[in-house]
Amino acid sequence: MPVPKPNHSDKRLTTPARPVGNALPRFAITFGVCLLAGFGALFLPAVQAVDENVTKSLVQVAHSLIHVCGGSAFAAGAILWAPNGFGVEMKDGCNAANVTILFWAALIAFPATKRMKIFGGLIGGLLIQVVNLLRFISLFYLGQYSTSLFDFAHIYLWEILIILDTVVIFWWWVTWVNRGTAAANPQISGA
Amino acid sequence: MRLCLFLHESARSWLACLTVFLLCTAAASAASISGNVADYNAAQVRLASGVVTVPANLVTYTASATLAIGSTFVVILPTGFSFGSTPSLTTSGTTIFNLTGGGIGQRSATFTIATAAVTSGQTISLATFSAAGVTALQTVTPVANALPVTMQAIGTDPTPLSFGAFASDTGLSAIFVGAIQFIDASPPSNSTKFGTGGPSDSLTAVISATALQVQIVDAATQSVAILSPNGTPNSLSSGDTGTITMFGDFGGIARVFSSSTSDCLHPLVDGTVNYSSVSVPGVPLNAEVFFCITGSGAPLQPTPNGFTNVTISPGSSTDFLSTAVVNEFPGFICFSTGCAPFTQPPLVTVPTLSNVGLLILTGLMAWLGLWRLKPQGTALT
Repeated sequence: MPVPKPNHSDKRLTTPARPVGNALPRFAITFGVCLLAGFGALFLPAVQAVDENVTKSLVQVAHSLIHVCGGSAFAAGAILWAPNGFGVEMKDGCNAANVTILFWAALIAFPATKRMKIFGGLIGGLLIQVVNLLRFISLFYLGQYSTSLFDFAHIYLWEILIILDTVVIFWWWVTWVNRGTAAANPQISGA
Repeated sequence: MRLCLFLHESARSWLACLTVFLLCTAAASAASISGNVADYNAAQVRLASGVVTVPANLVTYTASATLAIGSTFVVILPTGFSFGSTPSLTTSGTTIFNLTGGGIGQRSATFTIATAAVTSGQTISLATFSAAGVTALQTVTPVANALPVTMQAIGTDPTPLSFGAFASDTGLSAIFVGAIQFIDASPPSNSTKFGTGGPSDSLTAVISATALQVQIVDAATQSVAILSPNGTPNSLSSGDTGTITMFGDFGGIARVFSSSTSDCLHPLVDGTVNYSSVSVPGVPLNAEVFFCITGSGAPLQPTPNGFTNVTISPGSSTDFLSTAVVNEFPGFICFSTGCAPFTQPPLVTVPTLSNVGLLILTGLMAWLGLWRLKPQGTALT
């Protein structure tokens, strides 16, 4: 999917001049509210049902990827089994829903056009899921090899990588948005 | 009755009540229609270019009032159908029916009662005839949705009486029975062989058996006979074969084949293996055929719910349509440790981020957003 380039003449893509004085508190408040609303929604039964199905689908995708790459695994619901009996279950919260909500909350709070937010939300959400899938598959294999390596990767390595991944995606998106803003309103932005 | 009581209060109540009574009496003693559904082999109807022979007594009309000499009786076939031969009527009485309109090439036939009145309780039936243009029967038409033939005694029946008379079915009956097999999850098999351990473990296992037969009665009600286009009981060419397709999880399977024996030692025809299905062509009629799979040496996949989705397609045969099997038992393929792959609990992953990680990420995102929004030349504190 080609990245749409911010364009002077494209009023839909370029952000309007920002009232700088209000931007900081508005971002902070909107980010907090969206974060609370998003995490709160995860407790709704309807959302939980969707969340559960997404989790199972991610396990199926992991299973298919392993199979396509020549590996062996059995998917049973949210559990991925190895032929030797080792199994990893993707529980609630393991599907990166909370990270995606956090990322989306920041996107919604940051001043940009709807189109930029939708684009960033889709691409960013997809990238977060891809990295989380890699995390799940790597843990599936590490767990079969060494429990201590599994624990290290799980608790430290992937924790840092997921944080970095999300921050870098958000940073990339903010830079892209600010370039569009600077191009449209050169007098107010130094970005 | 309530209507009559209401009318009784008006000045014209008696006249109105009498009218309602007469109408009700007429409705209660209306003529009736019944019959025998003609259920054809849909594939053979196509081969016969939509021309079929219809057995006698397809539809029978029972009179509730006297049909006088000279009165008219009309028979109408389903939409698109036409008479391919001269239609005629038979009766339990003595009268003769003269065809006075419609007939060959027409959808309807009009008869005149000629020699004697048809009295109440006597029946009028369609004699055997040829019907053309029955292309609607080239696809499966269940008995419940049979195409109607209508009959009406003009001047006696206020509306035509209808009976669902024409249906069609696939022409083939397939009975399927799945097998119970286990994958040996323990070493040295490590899920690559069928069995429960020891020297009996094998790469090959029988997974099902089927018997293809001429369809005698319809699939839905099991009571209506299936006919060939010539009106005789359905029959298929002895050289017909079908292709069976079983849907399941066939990861780790290298070969599928049919066998004349359940021990898989007498292979008949090799089929094709896909990850989610296997197909075996050349399944003959009127014989029990077994289906076997052979592992490639890679770990085998379980099919804990068995083969619930099995279809038969005609292959090179043309005188029956694709059909779902009568699945008497889907069977299953499970690990020797159980249908859930392994008995020990799985390692449970902790969340993508711990609470501390989430807090750190929230702080970083907030800081980054605020930093990129800060006014030019102002440090964010």
